[in-house]
Amino acid sequence: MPNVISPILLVFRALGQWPALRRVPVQQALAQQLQGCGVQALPGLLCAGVALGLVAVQQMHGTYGANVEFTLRTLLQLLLSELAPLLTAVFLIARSSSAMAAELAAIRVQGEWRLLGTMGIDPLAYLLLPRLLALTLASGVLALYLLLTAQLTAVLYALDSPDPATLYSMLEPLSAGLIAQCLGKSLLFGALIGLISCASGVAAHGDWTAIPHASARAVVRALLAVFAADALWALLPGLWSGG
Amino acid sequence: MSALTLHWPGHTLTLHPGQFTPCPLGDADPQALAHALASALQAHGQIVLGLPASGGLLSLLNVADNLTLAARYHDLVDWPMLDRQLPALLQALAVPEARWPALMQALPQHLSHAEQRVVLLLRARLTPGAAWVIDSGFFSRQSPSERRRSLALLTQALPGRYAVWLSHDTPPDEGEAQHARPT
Repeated sequence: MPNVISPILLVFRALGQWPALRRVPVQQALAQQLQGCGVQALPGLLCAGVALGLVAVQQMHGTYGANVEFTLRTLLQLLLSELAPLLTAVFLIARSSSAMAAELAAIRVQGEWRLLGTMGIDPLAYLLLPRLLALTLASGVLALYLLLTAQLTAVLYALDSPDPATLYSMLEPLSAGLIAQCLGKSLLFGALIGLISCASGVAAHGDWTAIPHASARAVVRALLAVFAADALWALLPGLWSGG
Repeated sequence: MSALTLHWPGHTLTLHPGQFTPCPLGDADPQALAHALASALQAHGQIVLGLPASGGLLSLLNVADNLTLAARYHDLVDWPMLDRQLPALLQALAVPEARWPALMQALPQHLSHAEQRVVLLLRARLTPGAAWVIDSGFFSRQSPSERRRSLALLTQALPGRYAVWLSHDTPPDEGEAQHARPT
């Protein structure tokens, strides 16, 4: 058990190193991580969003015969409340979590963690803090990006010509609360993925075989954590009001 | 700078600036000893750069970033000095001029052992005020001419620095390096 807890504590300690963000190498590491987790994920997420929009319209409207207004409105509501944060999280886990854990595990195994320490460079600030922040921020922005691409694709696919009444009806469920929920959930999932990826990588020790293990561990644990958090997010308000 | 006495479990070592201070390895693991030394030096506010027998560079960063990481992190980097000194040092280490741009962009794992040692030497020279922990194994795989060039490079920048020489043998004297002193 201690070898699970101590890496997690280490990652939490990294968050306390935020003043190090004024240092140029830490800023550069953050920019690099944002590029890797965020910008480079855009093309893949664009494909996922387009596919999601097409499938949603085809299934609800084409197969089950729901009218276009209902289809677009329901899709937007689902994207905001569930699909955009969750699918973005799964995408980030597949794409970035395993890579991040493997990278950190390699740094541990090769002794580069200690090397940074000897040069007076705090590995928590230089290695963990940028990764945690980048994954959290990227998750929030990418979820909104997925939402927009999926909804826009659905609108373009479902409507032969722009119809203001349908578009107005589609936007009816949109509220500040729902947008905040989508963003809050995405940030939470991103933070969880970052925490678990970093903790899995940092926990690695021994030889090279520790690297794939860390990577696999990060993916499985991050998936479980995100689904558990999603379930709690859905259940807690009901339990709260019921109690 | 005055003499500095370091204490760590089982050891006491007095360092004099401008000298290679011998630190016998005994039965100790060179890496573990180097890290213990580095921690003790850090406690005195020193940035410690190692010249180990192997490794010593960050695999995530290219050579250019490896060279300046410690200085940039501690806000010590002096870009005009660096731009001025780097070509002279590369020349002194007999790196062909055509290789310089590719060398700076390369990742450490794509370098030969000799080139990795060149990068470690450059970093040691170009980081202002850093203390050095030198594993004598660093020189063991070098040819006599490489060894002379490397020692000359270090000896030239030794005044005002702390340097620890981890080994079973004695540190070099000035005479060993003077034939290949870079200009």
